[in-house]
Amino acid sequence: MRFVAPKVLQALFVVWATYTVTFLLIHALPGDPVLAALAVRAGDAATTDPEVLDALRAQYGLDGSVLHQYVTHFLALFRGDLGVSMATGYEVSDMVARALPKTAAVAALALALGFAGALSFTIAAYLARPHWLRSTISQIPPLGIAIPAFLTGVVLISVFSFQLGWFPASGANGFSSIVLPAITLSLPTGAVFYQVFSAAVFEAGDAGFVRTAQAKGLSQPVVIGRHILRNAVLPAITIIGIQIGYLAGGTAVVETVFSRDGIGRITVDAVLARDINVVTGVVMVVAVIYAVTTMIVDLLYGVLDPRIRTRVAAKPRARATTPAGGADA
Amino acid sequence: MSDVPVLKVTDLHVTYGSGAARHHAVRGVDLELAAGRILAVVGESGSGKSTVANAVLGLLPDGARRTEGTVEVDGIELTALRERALRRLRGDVVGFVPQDPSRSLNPVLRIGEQIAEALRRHTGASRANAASRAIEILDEVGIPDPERRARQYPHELSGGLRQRVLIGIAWACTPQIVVADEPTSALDVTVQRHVLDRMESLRAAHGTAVLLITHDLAVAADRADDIVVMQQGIIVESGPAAEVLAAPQHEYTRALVAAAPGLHSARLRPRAEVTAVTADASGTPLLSARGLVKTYPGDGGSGAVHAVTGVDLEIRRRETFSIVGESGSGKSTTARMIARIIDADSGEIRFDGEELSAMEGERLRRFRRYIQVVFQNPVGSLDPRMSVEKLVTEPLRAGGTMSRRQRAATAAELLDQVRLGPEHLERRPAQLSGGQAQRVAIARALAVRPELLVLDEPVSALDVSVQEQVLQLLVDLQAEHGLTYLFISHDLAVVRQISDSIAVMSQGAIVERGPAAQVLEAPGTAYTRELISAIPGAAVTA
Repeated sequence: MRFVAPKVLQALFVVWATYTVTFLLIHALPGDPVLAALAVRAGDAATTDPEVLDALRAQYGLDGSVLHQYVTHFLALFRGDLGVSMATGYEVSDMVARALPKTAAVAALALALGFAGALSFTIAAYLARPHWLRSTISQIPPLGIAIPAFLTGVVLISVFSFQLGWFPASGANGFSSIVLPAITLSLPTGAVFYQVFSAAVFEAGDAGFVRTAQAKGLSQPVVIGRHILRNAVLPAITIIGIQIGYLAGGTAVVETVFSRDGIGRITVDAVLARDINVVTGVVMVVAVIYAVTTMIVDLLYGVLDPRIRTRVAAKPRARATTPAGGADA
Repeated sequence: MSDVPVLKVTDLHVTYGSGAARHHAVRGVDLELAAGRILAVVGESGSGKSTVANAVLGLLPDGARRTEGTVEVDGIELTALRERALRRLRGDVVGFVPQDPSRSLNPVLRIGEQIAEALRRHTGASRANAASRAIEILDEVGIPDPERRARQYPHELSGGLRQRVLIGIAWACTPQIVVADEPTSALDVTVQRHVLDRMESLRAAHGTAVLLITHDLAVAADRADDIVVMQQGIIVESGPAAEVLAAPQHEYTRALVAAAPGLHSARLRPRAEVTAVTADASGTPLLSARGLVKTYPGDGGSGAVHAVTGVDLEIRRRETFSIVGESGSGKSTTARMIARIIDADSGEIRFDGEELSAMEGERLRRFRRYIQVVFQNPVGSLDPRMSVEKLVTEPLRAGGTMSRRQRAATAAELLDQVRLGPEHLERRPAQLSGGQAQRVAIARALAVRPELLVLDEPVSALDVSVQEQVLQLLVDLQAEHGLTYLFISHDLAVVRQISDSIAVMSQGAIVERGPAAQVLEAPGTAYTRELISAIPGAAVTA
């Protein structure tokens, strides 16, 4: 419990801090948000009647003092109430709830593909001899982050949709529609995984305990799987939290290229329409996802790494009592 | 036991790298080792002794290549085998005890499992049988409460226990040969003795041939039947241990015998060409400490650690005062309190009559130049991106600016004091050997003309021959500059080479103190006697 409580507080702090910064930024923008939203929608025909504006402000929760708004909106978050969209009139929470599963499906597949790809490249690079072959393999994954997503997306569409016809070029119907967007997103994700993962694997590969494992005569797969990867996976897990946060928010380009609905599209539309309730809502949902995954990863770390587990269990440190073991190394 | 060798190395050549960077590490080595015998391969870092060990295991590191020669184990020529067949042999026919127990066990696997996986691999034991046999092995290597230990992870064991686990792994499948690569150089001397004892009894019980790689001739003298001395990739001398030590033929062996601290009990004297400053007759101690206490708060509720529980000491001017004790005895904590690196919980430190323990802020900062510290790990205590010139003159910059030329001149002078040539000025720490790096650290400490040097295990990370050179340098510098030393070490063999007074620490308190000769020759406590008997080389000097 003493291990869990600080992590939960940390997650709450991240959510609160994100809310505060977003709130301040939006309220620091010049002009009246309601008026601005109306102007985007109706141009010069937008009403300027003060009574109508006041009614709209109340409807969108933008009435009262700034402090009042800050507090009421924050409390509303805990009820899952993200306000009403000024551009569409829908509840923001409904909009997000409809978009989120579509984004999540793509993100989950991208994460899995990226992780698997990074793992394969890392093992290939680790086993590769001679040196130039290893260097060559190590140079490939960074391309994933160097090539922009809209380019990969367009190339994938033209090859696999138009030429081969294996996957649909757009839309969000069924599993086949998420394959190409997921591959597009998995490239940068996998590249980042590879950077962390390969560094950890090469470090573990040089460690003394791997030499011990080799000297025991264990087979190559056992040495790699039990001794190297079990240790290398720990730093890589930390990255998963950051990657999920990135995927939850960073899908805008891919959703645009593949004409899919999702969190990214909502955000782009909301920003263009100056729809501040939707912008805040999306930012908060992403912040919560990020905070929760980071918290889970932190807790997982405690499960996977016995050194942290011992500290958590707060057992007295093992002290040897024999003369030979008297040294506490 | 027959006289047929179980290990036969013939004309072994190993090179590292290729092209211009090619380095010929082993140049024609022949070895023979019969069942039940211990052969020690002795040499300094870079002599090629570890490369020989790796070649016997068939585990040469990346970039190393056997260019000529054969390695035969139990009649099988290793060099003709494929990697897959080698993996069957390793652990089964050839066991291995690594150097550094703190890094040689997998941190995320349980102790028992790390032994059991070797058993399952080579003996075909079932999961349950291997696990119960692993507990028996832990018991055999002298680990108390083996059932509980088998379920623990490496970080829950002390260094000595971890090394016993590694010995258990090496002997798990009762191999014909065990290769032990510096098995105890990372351990305290008392622990070293118990670990080596354990290896000897396993050798006797199973008739194992042991190839013991070590830089310490005293360890070899105590444990080996035969000794091979290596220098720069070739064997310069070999023979039965007693003969090699009693009548070394080669000049390099003689130098090693002379350098091994375990084999010499006399205190080092300044060399003849050193001009000593005349002694100051003042009787007041340079430094005195009363009732020093330090308690570290426990992490995660594991209870506070009482590192130092009331230490009094007095260091006279121009003497070497040594604190000796095992890891965790509180000796380093005491030294750090005296150097004001950490604050004492209570107690008083007086330096040259002034109360050091009460100083704060600017006054303490100015006072720091009188007490300088040299740490154990020479490379780790030097900023890797700074040149030697910058490193040794850095402390002077705190006192004001210097012109570039002044700085170069001062740096060259400081290096000269530690017997390093001016060609080292532009080098970076990574380009220095361990001994050179420690000399640079000493030069840096001398830059501000301190009165007291706190030397925290200054030679523990160095090879014995380099150890001896650095100790000689310290003795010379002391005479030249009238320095006072507080010397911290776990190794009584080193301590007796340099000390005037000795304090023995155990569990946070001084258990015995006095003039060096008295403590060493007429120890008053069982603990001190244990430390003295742990000094390797007793087989020769006794």
